[in-house]
Amino acid sequence: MRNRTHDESRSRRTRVRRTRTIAAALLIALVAAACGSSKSSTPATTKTPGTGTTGTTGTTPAAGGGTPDPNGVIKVGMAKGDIDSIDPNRWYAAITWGLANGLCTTLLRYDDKPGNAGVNIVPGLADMPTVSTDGTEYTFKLRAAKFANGDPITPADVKFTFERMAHPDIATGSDGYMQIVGKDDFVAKKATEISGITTTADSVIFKLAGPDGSFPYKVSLPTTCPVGKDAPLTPNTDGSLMMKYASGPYVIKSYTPEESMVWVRNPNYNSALGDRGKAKEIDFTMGVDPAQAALKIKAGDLDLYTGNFPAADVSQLSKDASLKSQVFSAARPAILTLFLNNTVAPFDNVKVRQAVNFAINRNQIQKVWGGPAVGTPTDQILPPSVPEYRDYSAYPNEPDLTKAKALMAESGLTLPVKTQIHTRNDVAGFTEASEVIQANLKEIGINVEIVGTIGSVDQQADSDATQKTPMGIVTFSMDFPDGQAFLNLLLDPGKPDFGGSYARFNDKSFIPDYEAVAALTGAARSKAYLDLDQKVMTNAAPWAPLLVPARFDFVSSRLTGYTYSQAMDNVNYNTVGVTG
Amino acid sequence: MTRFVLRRLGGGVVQVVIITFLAWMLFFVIARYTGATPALRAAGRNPSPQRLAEVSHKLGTDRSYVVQYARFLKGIFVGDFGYSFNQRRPVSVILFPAARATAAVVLGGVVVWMLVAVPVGAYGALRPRSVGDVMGRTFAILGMSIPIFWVAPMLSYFLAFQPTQGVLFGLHLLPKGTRIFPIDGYVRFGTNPGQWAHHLLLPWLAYATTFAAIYARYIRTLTIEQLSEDYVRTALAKGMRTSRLLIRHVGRNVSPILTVLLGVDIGIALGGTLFVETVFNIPGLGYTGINSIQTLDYPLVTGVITFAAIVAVGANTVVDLAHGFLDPRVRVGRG
Repeated sequence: MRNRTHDESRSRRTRVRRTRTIAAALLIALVAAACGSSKSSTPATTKTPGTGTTGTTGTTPAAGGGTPDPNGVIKVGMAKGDIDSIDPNRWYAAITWGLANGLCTTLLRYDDKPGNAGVNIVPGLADMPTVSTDGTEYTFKLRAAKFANGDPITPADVKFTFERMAHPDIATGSDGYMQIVGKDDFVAKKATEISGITTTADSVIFKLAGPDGSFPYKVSLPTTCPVGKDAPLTPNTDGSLMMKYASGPYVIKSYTPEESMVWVRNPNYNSALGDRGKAKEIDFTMGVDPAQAALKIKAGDLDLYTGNFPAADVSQLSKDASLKSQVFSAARPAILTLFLNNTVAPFDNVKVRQAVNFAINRNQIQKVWGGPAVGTPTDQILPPSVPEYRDYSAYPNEPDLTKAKALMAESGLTLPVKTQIHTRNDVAGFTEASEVIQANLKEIGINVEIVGTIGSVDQQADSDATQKTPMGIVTFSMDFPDGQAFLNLLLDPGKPDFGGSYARFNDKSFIPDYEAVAALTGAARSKAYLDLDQKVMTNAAPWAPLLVPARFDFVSSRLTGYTYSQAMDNVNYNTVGVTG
Repeated sequence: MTRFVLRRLGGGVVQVVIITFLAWMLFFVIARYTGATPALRAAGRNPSPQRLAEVSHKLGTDRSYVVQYARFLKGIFVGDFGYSFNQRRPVSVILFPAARATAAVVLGGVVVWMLVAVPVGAYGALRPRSVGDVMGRTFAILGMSIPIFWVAPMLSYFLAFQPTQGVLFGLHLLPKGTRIFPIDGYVRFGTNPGQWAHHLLLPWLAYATTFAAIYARYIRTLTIEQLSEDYVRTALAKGMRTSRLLIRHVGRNVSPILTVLLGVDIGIALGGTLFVETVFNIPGLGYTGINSIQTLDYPLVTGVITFAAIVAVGANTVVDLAHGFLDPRVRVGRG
């Protein structure tokens, strides 16, 4: 017993020494690994392809430089909840609109080119429309096209698609844009079809309630993705509609909600509709945690990630020179803005709203948001992705406290005043930006309390006019690149209680300007919307715009043809491929 | 014994009813404080008042609270947890696969933590203050101190990601592209049992770390207590082998207490799956629950809470019953 104990004790010491040696080696290795992992070599070299940070047209952003392998399989990671709906007439989030671009061919569609050229409308299922002289009738002549199941896409299918989209049980978000004769009766179930949509053997004719220069954009919305006449009038959740009725270069092969999705090439896609689709298959993995996404791309598990990378990863990836060709940043068709409720004190006073615009440090907000790779300061309502964009500079990026204080004095308020800022606290950047604003406004006598909640609750409170939210930080993304998508939807003085009009902008003196611009078409319309933007911001300042957010992407080294679609606010699946 | 079983089952049912009531109340508390009524969440974007009324009627939220609760309870008993506003499919269709994934994490984690804790704890008890015991206790203190939300990404980084770069613990020891563990992901057992286990190894390790440490300490303390009992001395004096003594006598006296602790801890551990499932992208209950809270998907929120509660109460009831079987004093004393 003693001997055994003695032997055991000796062998235990040996083991302990060995264990200590191993432990020391592991400790050193861990420290080395930690140092190695935080090693970031060179200064920021982030490319800004696409629109760049000022909205000007950039160069073609192609990752890698190789030729895409037609048998390649692209591996895409998605964050949880990225797919808001898989129903082609319901999807509304940027991620799913990106998917729609690869699965659907709408009547008209957006060009697959990078940068601002990507918001140009080109023929899709139909040629460019003929428009009646009064601007109320659009005729689309269909081109030869088939659904993935081999059925030809007919004018009747297109008419049914628009009716399905308007159906209350489908409850799409974009149906409100369609001012088609007879649509209201159809929605109210007073009619069985929309009388303003008629068909011939090869054409679809839309009769509008009034002239609408943005209608070509509206028939390019991903929610107008065509479906066959037998598609049920209930939301599709298993992806079966896009297995049967895909009309883009890809078709869904399998879909497990919140887990995975596989696309393969659509065998019935007519390449005359556009040279789209560069891979044999795209495999989507859902629920990838943002913190793991960059690691998975580096490890070769993913080629793309649709979610937002954490700010720390954005910073590190942007600075790593060895990853230069895999990093992309492009201005989004969106605005991060501080809405000021025009019906709630102290923001019912235009002088206060203007003072806020002069007092805010937009450059500081850019820093806390994540730096130039993820946003550019702006004081305008419309983002650079709209045609004919120009920078008019009504308010500074650095605070002008002299002007701001003078305006507060002119407001006639007894200072200090108290108010609240509502913001979401489940996404990095919002609370930090609120803190900057809180500090800025304290300088001009406005004491701000920050109210943070999860995004869905925050949005609910902001959209409910009865809750009288004084101000809040939100991001708005354009449904189509036309001033109407922001000015009429978010800041229409004639509809201050509309859900999206968080600022409750109600200055009726602007209504004639809004009516005048809505009747215009083409470049004149785009210019007029920019003029209206400037007039609204300079004279009424219902918002304090903060940043034009940028889409930051990090892709695998084997990915080719990366293009950020300005129109879809997402990667363009029609152009990406992988090398062999 | 029958009375004892009936009492335990009855107690479990009462607990479930109370928890389901609280979960159902959440439905209205959230709506009250967010202004987001169930109808508003379900009716789509910018609904008209008529549409809201129509949806409210369809959901039954225009009925009295008593009727609504009765319908809710009835639904649960037939496995109907409602209809997800966001995913537009029955909650049960979402919950059951998620529960299977969570069960795989939890049960596998329990096996791992017991596989670690039993030898470490027993060794420490047999050789207190030895180097092995000191190391075991150090491991236990470290394990209890390190939060699971840190352990999980670290395991993924060092054991899954770094080998793909040819690095193991910071040293360039491996060929680039080496795959030891997957960084994340989940494979269903039915699809490929080997891949299922391979994908779950790191989640199990992450999940087991804290509990293995706690249980090693429990086992050490409980075993030391037993080793000082007279029956142990008698058995050793009669020449019984240590291994036999540990398994046949000491283990038998320690196991009822461990069983009770396990029942309680499995309930607690369900909360820990949230981090593991998020980091390793496992579509389980924690992952689903967080997603449903973020999107204010009331039926799914209440479904996850209710389901998790039923599992926790069920586990405790089973453990109580098992305790009764293992230790006759329990059923005599209480039954």
